[in-house]
Amino acid sequence: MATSRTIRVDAIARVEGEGALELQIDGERVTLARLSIFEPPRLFEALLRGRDYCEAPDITARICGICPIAYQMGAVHAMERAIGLQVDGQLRALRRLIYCGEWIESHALHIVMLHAPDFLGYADAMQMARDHGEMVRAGLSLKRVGNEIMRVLGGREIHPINVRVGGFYRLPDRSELTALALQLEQARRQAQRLLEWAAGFPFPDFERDYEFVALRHPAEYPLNEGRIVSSAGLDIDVTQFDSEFEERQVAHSSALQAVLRRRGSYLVGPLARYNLNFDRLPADVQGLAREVGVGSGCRNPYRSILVRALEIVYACGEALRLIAAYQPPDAPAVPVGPRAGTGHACTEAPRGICHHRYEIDADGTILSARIVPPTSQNQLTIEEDLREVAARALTLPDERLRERCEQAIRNHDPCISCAAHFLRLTVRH
Amino acid sequence: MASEACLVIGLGNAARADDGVGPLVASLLAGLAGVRSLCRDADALALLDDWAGSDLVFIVDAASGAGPPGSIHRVQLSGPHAPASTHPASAGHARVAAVASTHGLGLPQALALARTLDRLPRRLILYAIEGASFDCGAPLSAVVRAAAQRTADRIQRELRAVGLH
Repeated sequence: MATSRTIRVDAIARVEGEGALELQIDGERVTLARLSIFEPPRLFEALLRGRDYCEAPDITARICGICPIAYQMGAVHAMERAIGLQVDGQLRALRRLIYCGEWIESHALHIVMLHAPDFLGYADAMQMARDHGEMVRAGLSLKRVGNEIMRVLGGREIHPINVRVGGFYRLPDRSELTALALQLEQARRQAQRLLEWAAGFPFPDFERDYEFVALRHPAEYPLNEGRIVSSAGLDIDVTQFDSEFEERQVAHSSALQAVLRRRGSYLVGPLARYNLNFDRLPADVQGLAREVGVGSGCRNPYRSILVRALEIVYACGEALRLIAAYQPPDAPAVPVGPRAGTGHACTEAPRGICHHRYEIDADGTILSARIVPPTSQNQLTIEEDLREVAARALTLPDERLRERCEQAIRNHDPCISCAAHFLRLTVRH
Repeated sequence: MASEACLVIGLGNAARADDGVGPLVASLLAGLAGVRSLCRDADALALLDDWAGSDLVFIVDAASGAGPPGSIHRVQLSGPHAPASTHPASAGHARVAAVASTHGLGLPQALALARTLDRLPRRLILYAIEGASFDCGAPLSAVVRAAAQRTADRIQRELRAVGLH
């Protein structure tokens, strides 16, 4: 007799923000796979209208407590393009350095506190810590180092206040950077241990033919700038984002879902970045990738935990390189002045590309703002993952299937929930 | 005991009315000899680093649902009289609101993790003060402001009792 199963998780735990999962299975067929985002709209784009263009980095930093730098960087780069300004040299390097801090703290938090318990069969990181205390300590220590970079350069760890259009308000002292470098040396070793630990996890045999979308820079592993490229041959300037991507409303989500106009769903984030930019990683990081079996390409979303660990190793090394090469610039910021214009920017948030577009008038008042965060771009792909994961695991009991589906969501570190976790599961025969 | 460092951590958001009571108590005690005070409004995991090296730690937070506004609950979370569980809600005293951060883990989780990782301070005491309002942008209510001063006084008496102040 065919069985109809409904698997629901009303509030998905161990992700950032508030979302729910619903899966409907009729017989051998998955008929519904839905990631619902029910957090109320944030209205930041409307909030920005009428404000001065120089206020954008401080307002947008409030969008996220984990990845405020992504929003600040998107805002300052877009505003600088709107007023015809290019910030180079050591100020550019410091922006890259603060972004490294965000990658380190965000990835470390996700690996240890949110994702690893799935692979090892623990309900949460607190339980996992009883048996894997050293790795939890390493993850927390990495998070602290990432936060420390954000504090030194950004003025504080959460919602930094030292980033401005044109550069920074205050430059770091040499002694502060030297202290960071000491911590980063240890952090890099801890990140390698974290990588080796995660490489021993049992990974489901699951691959999908994603269209990866990420930035690509002529010389660097992408953080602040580059062209938007994809594994299907897309290669555009960030100003062409609207011609290739579209955000759509869906009834079950308060977040817009982005799609490629011509091809539909796509994936942004560490897996996309890595697959499209492996050749931009230093040789030592490439070597580590081969040692842990990821190689130059990876289409298994469960193994994204390894890519995040590799990106922490990279970010620690890149931060050390930037600190070693640092020469204080003449001023913490270059002079800025408003002019009417439109500015686009796209940067690589820990969870993937984050696109900003602003229109400002001659006195610098923001006329319109549009921000496309990574999670809205990955929603459709996450739902497709859920459908495939469930279809391949129909023989699992409901509880195991639910866990597998939640893990599939956490593979992409969506910024939607870490509220209380409760499940209503109904099985109809 | 006189050489023992004491840390007072005020938890809460001063822009959310009575949620700011923790930071207010921390500020009332700032500057006392031998006392370090700091405030946190998110990311309870950072507490594990904040209290590293401190033997005596007071956490002051707003609470909801365990008494009339302004009432003060004291929960010893580690030390000679601490309950077996470090979860404030099961400590046999008041049910204390966790630090509600969308992007971080709450106080109960941070305490559980600290205990597992052996990173609890030797003596950790929670003062939870019942709030009347948590509205955005509103000031502290008068009854909670008065409770903040009483809490600061109680903490000072505790410090004197151990020869710290």
